[in-house]
Amino acid sequence: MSTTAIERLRAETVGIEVESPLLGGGTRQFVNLDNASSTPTFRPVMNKVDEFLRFYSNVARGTGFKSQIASWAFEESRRAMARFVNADPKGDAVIFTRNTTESMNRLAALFPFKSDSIVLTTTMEHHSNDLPWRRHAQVVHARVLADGSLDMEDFAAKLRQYRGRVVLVAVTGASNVTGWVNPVHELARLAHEAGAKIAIDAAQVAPHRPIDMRKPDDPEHLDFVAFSGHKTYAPYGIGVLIGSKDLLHPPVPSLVGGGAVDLVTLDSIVWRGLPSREEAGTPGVVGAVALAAAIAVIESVGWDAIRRHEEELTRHTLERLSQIPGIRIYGSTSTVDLSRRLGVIAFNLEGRSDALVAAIMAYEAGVGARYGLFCAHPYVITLLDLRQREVERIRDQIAMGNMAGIPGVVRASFGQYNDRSDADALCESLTAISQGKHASYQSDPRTGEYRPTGHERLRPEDYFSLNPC
Amino acid sequence: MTFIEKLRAEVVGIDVQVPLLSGATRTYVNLDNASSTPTLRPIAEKVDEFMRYYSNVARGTGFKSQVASWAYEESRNIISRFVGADPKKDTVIITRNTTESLNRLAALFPFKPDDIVLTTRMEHSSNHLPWRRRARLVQAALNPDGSLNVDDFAAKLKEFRGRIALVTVTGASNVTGWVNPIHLLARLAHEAGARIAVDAAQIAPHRPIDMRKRGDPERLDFIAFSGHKTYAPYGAGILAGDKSMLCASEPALVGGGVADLVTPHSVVWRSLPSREEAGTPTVVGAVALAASIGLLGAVGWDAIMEHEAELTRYALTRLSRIPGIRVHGKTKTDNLEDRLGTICFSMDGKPAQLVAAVLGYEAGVGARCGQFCAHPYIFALLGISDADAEKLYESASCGSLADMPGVVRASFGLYNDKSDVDAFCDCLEAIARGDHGEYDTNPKTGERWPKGRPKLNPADYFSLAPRLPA
Repeated sequence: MSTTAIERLRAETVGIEVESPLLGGGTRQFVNLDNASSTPTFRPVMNKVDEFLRFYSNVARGTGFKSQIASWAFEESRRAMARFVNADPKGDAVIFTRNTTESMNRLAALFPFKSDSIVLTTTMEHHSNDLPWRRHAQVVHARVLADGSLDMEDFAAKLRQYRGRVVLVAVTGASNVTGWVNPVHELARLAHEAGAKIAIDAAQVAPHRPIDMRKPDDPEHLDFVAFSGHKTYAPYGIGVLIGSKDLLHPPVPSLVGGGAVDLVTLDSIVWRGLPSREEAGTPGVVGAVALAAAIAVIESVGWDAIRRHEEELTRHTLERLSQIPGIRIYGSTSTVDLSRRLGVIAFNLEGRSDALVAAIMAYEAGVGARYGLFCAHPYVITLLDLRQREVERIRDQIAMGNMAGIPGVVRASFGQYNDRSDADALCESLTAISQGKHASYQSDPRTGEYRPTGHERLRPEDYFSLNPC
Repeated sequence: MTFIEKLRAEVVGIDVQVPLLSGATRTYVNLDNASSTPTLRPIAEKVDEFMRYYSNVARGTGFKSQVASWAYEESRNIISRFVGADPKKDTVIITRNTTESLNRLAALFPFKPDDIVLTTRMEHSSNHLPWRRRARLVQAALNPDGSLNVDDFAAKLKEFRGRIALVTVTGASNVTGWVNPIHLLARLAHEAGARIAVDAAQIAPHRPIDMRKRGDPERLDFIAFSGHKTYAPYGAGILAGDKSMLCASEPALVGGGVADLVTPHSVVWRSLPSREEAGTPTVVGAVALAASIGLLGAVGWDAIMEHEAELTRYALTRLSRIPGIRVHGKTKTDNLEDRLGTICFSMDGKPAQLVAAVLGYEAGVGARCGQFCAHPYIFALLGISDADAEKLYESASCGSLADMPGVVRASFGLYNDKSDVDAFCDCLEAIARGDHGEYDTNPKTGERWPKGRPKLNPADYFSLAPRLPA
């Protein structure tokens, strides 16, 4: 039987074979459905990192053999990032950061805002694409429709309403909660028509869909793109910000120190050009190499194969989930057209809190999912249709340090290495929960986390030790 | 064989062969450890083992998320113990590197409008530039040997008493290796009502750091260092210090993980350290750093210090016999407690870039040349006046870096041995005799490469393309 590249890659997922302890005693192979949060890495990526570490040395101005290899590998990785999103090799800079959050903070710090500038974003954003703008400009949020997708009419209306003042549009490529994919090029055209630039938070979309910034003179071109290694099978502490050099070049860099300058005297400084001036200190060379390797793995599998596989998985899951009594899926539930969504599925089970459901899945089925508000509080609050008074009550409760009973949703999210057995494990666990077949749990009022009643806490040190000797 | 000798074989890439100008190859000699260290196999293996459990931290309920969250917080505890931080009152923030840590401290520290930061003239740019934008900077002078002039430091503290909010000094120079008496400086700073931050990037892999108990007048208030100089080049650095002074009204970076609740118009910020770690943190880097700390602990500071002092003594002795070499900084070999194995020098008639190039191309020795992100210090060591420095500023502004004066630096890690020193000194002897190839100069950067030879093609040695499953 011939296997596809995607099937072979499953075996190459580092830690795919790890057994999770279960409540009743015994274990089962851990089912990782938390890929929208962070992905594992692949053996070819890890092996590449280990190989590179043989040559690791600091970059820039080192004259030794290893420094030359490492400097080259770092700059080659940068070019791989630019090609991955089809950036303009001349006009765009690729800045290595720690993660998308830092990239967005960086863009917010560098972008030439004026005092009355407005950033138009949406209600579906991750905080990392909302909070950084709030400190540099007035932020206006385009609404979402009842199904959680972006309300395009409201988006266009807000662009019109604030025309001339909206200097930047910042939207996510896809929601980290419902998986809705935004029509970024259409939004780019609207933004450009209104005289604004557009930045895409591509953290979620990068591992699932090709990103094409397009030519600078294309009205649908993307001015800025940011994404993270840790969601793209390279969890080695690296992220990128890519975009127009002209707009990332204020008089002084955002962070200052070694590597950002050509000369420092007691009274004056000669700053370097981009990207060095925005990479103060020793950069994440290993992370950059890892991300370049991960991109090569993704491209070897091919976008068509990845999309087809993830769509099939999502369709299968949505079909099975729809048969579970009391389940409510947020976002698109269509199993016909999956072109506008990723394999990120948010849901709740009637009568059981998100935190409880996630705990049962973990302790009784070995399924790693996530629950809560997903750093997208305004969006989840909208999806749950919470009233203003309820939100205020929650805020007061949180301010008192009590996280118990905070509303939220459960999220399962696929990576390209997941298969039907993973989806089935999720659905079987949820079916059992809906039938009341689960142990009893109690919640920690401080964190809101559920743990099985009468059981000892999991001891991570039984499984992993930090001691290298 | 001592443990430290055994560890040499565990250095990842210690066996890498490099091509020489002569056509032969030899094992690479890494003397650029003050810039970045390689990692050791037990650390790389620990990282690979951890990768089996990698998952995002915080609020993940699955088995792997629990293991990864525990490993991350346990790494933080190990780092906290490594610097003797107060487990209750200090926080440990995981950053990318020391530069980010010091920028962070500068952004968070509660400066008042007329505050002064007292630093020294021997600092790396990363412990200099971040302060310039937040306060007035005063620099303590140096002695002629490049060490800190403690009398001038004390005099400046007196002169600006009441206005100096923070003293910030390096634990050791990244150029000359001079070790500063940080606890003495801490006492002087505290007596003057100031806090003290120590840039420990250089010193962390070579000497124990102890922030000491609260109430101790010699306590260090803030410490920053990097994994990539401490045998864990996986992109993590740290800032440790007094929570009460790192809790500004808003975090330095904002996004996911820093807020308990966000509504369209209000935010409830989390507490430290989460509020200063926006976005997914560098979990792997933290685990690597913790593993490295475990390894340093197993070797023991006494063994590390003794071994590195012996190497340094041997190198200084050999260098002193090479004609035309001028070592900057401490050259005496009787007591090496106040210097690290970081040696910088100039050679009569041979520009620093040429010497470094010959070391690289003809002896397979990786050293570094230039100003080491410590331009004012280099100018002081080379006796370049402030007026001449401003002329250099003008030519650098025009993009010409070729004439920038610099020095050559060799720096040891715990895994280096006498054979490395010999390779280095043998090559310098040859250079002193004029026994070396001819080199071309890049007029813009001043970089040298062997005349008439093609550039090294890194792609012949390393490819970014991963090996895919068949």
